[in-house]
Amino acid sequence: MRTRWRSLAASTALLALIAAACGTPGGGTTTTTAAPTQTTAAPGGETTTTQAPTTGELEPLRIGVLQPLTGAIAASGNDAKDGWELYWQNHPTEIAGRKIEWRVEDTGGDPDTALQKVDELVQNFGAEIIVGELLANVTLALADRLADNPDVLFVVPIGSADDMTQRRRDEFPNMIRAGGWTSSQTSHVLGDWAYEQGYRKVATMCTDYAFGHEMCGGFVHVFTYRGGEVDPSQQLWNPLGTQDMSTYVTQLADMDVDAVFALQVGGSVGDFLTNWHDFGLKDRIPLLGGEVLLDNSNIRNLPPEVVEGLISSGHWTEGRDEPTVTEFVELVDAATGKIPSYYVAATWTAAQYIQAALEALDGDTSDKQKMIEAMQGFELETPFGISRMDSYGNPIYDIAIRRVEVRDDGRVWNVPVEIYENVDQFWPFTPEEYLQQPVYSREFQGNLSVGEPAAGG
Amino acid sequence: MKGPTGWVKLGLLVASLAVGVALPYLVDQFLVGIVTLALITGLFAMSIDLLAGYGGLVTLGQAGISAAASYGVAYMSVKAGAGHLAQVGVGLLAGLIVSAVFAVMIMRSSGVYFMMITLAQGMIIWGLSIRLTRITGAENGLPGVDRPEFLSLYWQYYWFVLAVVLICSAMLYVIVRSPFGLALEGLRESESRLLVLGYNTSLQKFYAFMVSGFFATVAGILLVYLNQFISPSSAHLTASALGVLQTILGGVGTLVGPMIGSFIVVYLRNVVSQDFERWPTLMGLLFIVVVLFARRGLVGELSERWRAWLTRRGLAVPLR
Repeated sequence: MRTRWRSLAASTALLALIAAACGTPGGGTTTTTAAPTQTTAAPGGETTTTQAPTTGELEPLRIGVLQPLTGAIAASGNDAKDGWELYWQNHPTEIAGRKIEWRVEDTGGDPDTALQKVDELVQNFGAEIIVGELLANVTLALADRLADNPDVLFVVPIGSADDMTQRRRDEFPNMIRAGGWTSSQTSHVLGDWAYEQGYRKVATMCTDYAFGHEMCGGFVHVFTYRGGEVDPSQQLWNPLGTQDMSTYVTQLADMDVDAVFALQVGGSVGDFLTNWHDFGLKDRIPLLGGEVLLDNSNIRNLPPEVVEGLISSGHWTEGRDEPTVTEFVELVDAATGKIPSYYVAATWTAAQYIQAALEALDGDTSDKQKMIEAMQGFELETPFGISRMDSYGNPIYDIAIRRVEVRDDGRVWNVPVEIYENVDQFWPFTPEEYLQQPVYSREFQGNLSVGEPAAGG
Repeated sequence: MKGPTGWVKLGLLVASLAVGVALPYLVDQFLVGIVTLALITGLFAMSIDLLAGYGGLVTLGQAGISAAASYGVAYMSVKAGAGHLAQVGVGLLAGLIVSAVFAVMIMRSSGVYFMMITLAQGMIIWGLSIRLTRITGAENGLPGVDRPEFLSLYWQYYWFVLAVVLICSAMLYVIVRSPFGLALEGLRESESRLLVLGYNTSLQKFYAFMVSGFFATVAGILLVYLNQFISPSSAHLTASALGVLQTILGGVGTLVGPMIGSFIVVYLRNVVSQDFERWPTLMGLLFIVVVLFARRGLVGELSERWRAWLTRRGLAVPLR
C-alpha cells in the first residue's frame, strides 16, 4: 500500500512538472502583445506569410536580448538585464508609432546555447534587433551567426573582443557597439597614466584567456611604448576560474617592481583582492586594475578596507560628478538597491541608442545599415558621459582613471582621479598604425613599435 | 510479436516515426531545430548508455570524444577549407583515434576508477581545445562550419539527422542483442565470473569503448553541422555529465530512455527557459523526483510497471 501511495505521489509530481513544462510553447509571453507575423515555411520551398500588418498600425519592433542569467557569470548578466529593463520602465515604449517589444533569454554563458537561442529569437519571436552578450566568445559566435542575416541588427553593449571592431570589422556588417567598448581601450589609458606616475617597471597578473590577453596587452603596449618596462617573465597568467590566488600573490610579492597591473574575472576577483590585502601588499605595491577588476559588481561584495583606494581605469565611473551619471546612479540605486555596475550602464545605453535611431529614422527599421549610420551620427549623453561612434562602430568616450572610495553610506564606488578625453579604441595611435599589429594575445603583448602617437589625447 | 507488449511497442514506434517524418510540415522552423538538436544529443546519450547501461561503465568523458570529432570537421572546414567529404573523414578519424587512445587507457579499469579516468580524458580534450589556439581558436571557437548544399535548409538537415539517428539506433539495438552485447551485460553483472568463463574482459571493454566512441563521434559530427560552430564548452565535463544525466533521467540500459531524456532536457533548456528563468531548478527537481521514485528512469520505470500490470492480469510471465 505504502509503495502505491509513493508512486502515486511521484507520478503526480512528475505530471505536474511535465504539464508545467508543456504549457509554455507559444503560450503568452509577458512582453508579446500582438501575434508575430506567422511565416510558415513548408518543406519544398514555398513560403507563405499568413498575416500582414494591420493597416494604420505599424508592426512592433521586436528586440531579443541575450544575457547569461544562469551559470558562473549570472550576477553580471542579471545586472545587464536590469539596465535594459530599467531603461524601458523609464522611457516610452512606443517610439515613432512603433511599439517596443522585447524578450530576454538566458544563454547560460554557453556559445552553443546562445546560438540556439538567437535562432529562436530571430525565427520564432521575429526579432529585428539582437542585444547581447556579455562574454567575448559568445558575442563573437553570435556575430558570426548574425552576419549572414542583413535583416537583423546586432547591438553589442558589453562583449568586448577587440577584433570585432578592428581587424575583423568587415566580417560583421550588421554589428554595432552601441554602449560598448573594446577590451584594450580602457587599459591603453592606464598604461600612459602609470608612466606619468613615475612607474618604470611593472608586473602583470591577468586571466589566461582572450579578454585577459587584450586588457593586459593594452596596458603593456602603451606603458612600454612610453618607455616603461615589462619583463615577460613577470607577466603571470592564471587559468580562468582559478579558486586560490594566494600562490600568485606571493610570487608578485617577491618581484622587484614599481607597480602591478591586474585583471581578474568572476570568483577570482574577490580572492585576488582579499589576498592582496591580507598579505600586506596593498600598502606596499601600487595596484593598477583593469576595468572589470574593480567594477562595482565586484567591489560591492568585498569589505571596504580591501578595496578602498585602489586605482583602475574605465569608461564607466559611477562616482563621476556629472548630471547624467548621478541621475542614472540614483535611479538604479532606488530601483535595485545597488550602485550600478558597468553592465547596467551598458545595456541602458544600448537602449538609448536604439531609441535615438528609431526617432531619427521615424520608425523605419527596414534598412539596418541606415540604423547603423544613424547611430554613428549621434552624440548622446549617456551614463558613460558623451558617447560618439568612430567609423568602425566602436564608441569614443572620456575614460577615467578611477579610485575606489567609501561613500558616506558605507558603500564603495569608483570616483575619477583624472580624465582622458575622447579616447577611441586606437588611442594613442592612429587606426592605420594600430591595425598593422596583430590582436593582443599571450604571445603578443604589444612590444612592436608602431610609430608616433596621434595628435590629441 | 509476443503479446500486448509487442503491439504497444510497435504502435509507439510507428506513431513516433510518422510524427518524426512529418514534423517539418507540422511545426515551425524553431521547433524542428529543437527536435534536430534533441535527436543528436539523444544519440550522444545512447552512446553513453551502451557503456553505462549495458557494460556498467559510467563514463564522464564522452563529450571529449564527440568534441574531437566536431573539431576535426570544423578545422577542415574553417581553417583548411577542405571539401565536405574530407571534413567528415577527418572528423570520423579524430573521434576514432581519440576513442582508441582512451580505450587503451581504460581497458583495465572499472567502477570509480573508470569514471575518474574518463573524467580526466574528457578534460584533456577540453584543455587542448583551450590551448591549441591555432587549431581550435581557443575560447572563441571555430565559427562558420557550412553544411553541404543539399543539407543547407533546416528541414533537409532535420531529415538527414533523423535518418542517421535511426540507422545508428537500429545498429545499437542489434549490438546490445548480439552475443557481444550480452557479454557486455555479463561484464556489468560480474566481471570475475566472465573472466572465469574465459572471456578477455579487457579486450571486451576496449571494443565496447570503441563502439560507443563511434556513435559519440557521429553525434559530434552531426552537432557541429547543426550549430555550425564549436568551442571548448562542448568538450567540458558539464557536457559529458549532461549526457549521463539524460541517460539516467530516461532510463539506464534501455537505449530509448536516453533519447527521451534528451528530449526532456533540450525542451527544458531551450523552450521552458524562455518563460521560466529558473529552469535549472526545474531540471534539478525533475532529477530528484526521478532518482527518488523512478530509479530505473522514466522508461525503465514505465516498462516495469507495464509488465507488473500485465502479470497481475495473467497476460505475461514475470521476467525474473
